[in-house]
Amino acid sequence: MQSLARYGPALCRKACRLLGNAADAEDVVQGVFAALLQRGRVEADLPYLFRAVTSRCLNLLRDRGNRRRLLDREEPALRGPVRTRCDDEVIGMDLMLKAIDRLDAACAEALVYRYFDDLTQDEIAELQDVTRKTVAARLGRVHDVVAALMADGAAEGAS
Amino acid sequence: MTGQAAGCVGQPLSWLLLERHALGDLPEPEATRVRAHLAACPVCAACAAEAAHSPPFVLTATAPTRKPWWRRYAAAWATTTALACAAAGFLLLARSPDHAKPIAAGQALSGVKGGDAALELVRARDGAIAHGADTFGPGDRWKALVTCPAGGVVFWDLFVRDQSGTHYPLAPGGPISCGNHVVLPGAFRVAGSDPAQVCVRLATDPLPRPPSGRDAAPLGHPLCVSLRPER
Repeated sequence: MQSLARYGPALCRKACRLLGNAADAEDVVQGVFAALLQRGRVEADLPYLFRAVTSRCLNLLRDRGNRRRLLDREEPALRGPVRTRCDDEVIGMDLMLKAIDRLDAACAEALVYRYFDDLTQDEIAELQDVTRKTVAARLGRVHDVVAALMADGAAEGAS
Repeated sequence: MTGQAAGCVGQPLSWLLLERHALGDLPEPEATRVRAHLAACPVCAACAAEAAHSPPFVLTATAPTRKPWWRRYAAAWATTTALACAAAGFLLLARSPDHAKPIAAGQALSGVKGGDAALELVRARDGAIAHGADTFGPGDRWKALVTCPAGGVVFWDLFVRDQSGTHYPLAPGGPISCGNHVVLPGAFRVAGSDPAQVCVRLATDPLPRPPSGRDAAPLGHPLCVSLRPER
């Protein structure tokens, strides 16, 4: 399976940015390739694998049982430079975990692509196979949820 | 918050674009645009340098370290079970771990119709994947795929038997939902110069390991695949 050797490092980097640790990232990437083998699919391109890894990472992050462990094992250096912010907010793991609880799967995926992978709206539209208008609506929803969470956090801090 | 805020000179180049650029997957007009941006933007150039660094990807030899979910929820299970039995008017008697029902090759899961249990190994060697390989070398990484009747949920444990004894390369796993070629989490290595057997035990209840440690004979009838070393 050539795509394992060719795309494995890129996918591990991608999963590391989101999960914050290399061990879970490798597990996710292995799981993607093992699932491909199960389905008898020999090769896949990078955008497809990128989306598959995102989906598996989000499943892991949605499981509340994993969250404490992921937060404990988080290595901030693996995130790399943050080049895209939501307004002025850097979306880190803690904020992302709270946000995905309030977002549907498509919006959570869009959040990851935009604020962890720095994809443009056009790139997200291509990856999710929807129009740019739909992506804008999803990111609008993400923006609202992040703003609400920040307001909640500020209110808790003030009280 | 994680990470450091860093500014790009314009619209940041996405990681997907940078990875495709590093792999040479971009058509020339897009590659030219990326190169022009990287020449002007040190932040994206640093990301591109990271994307260009591609160590060989191999399946990890380390077992997952996280605690199986069934252990984390063991107390909740016990409480739920106790309440259910009390409502029925029966006293709950705790089951011994020895009562775990093992499932062997050729046996159907009790309570589930149809299908047998089977084990398949997948070998990763220098980026090449081989299903059903029966020889091992020093750098190989292995994953185990289990087939069991769909609809069942089973606990599992994997061990390697050779002349030196019985070894458990993976942490005890949480239950899996049965199906065809279900991938067990984690990867492992088989070492040594003697033939070895990789075996998986499946059972309807959690599987305790023998108390005397890695050399003790595992309980139950396992599914096994024999491997021989390459000379």
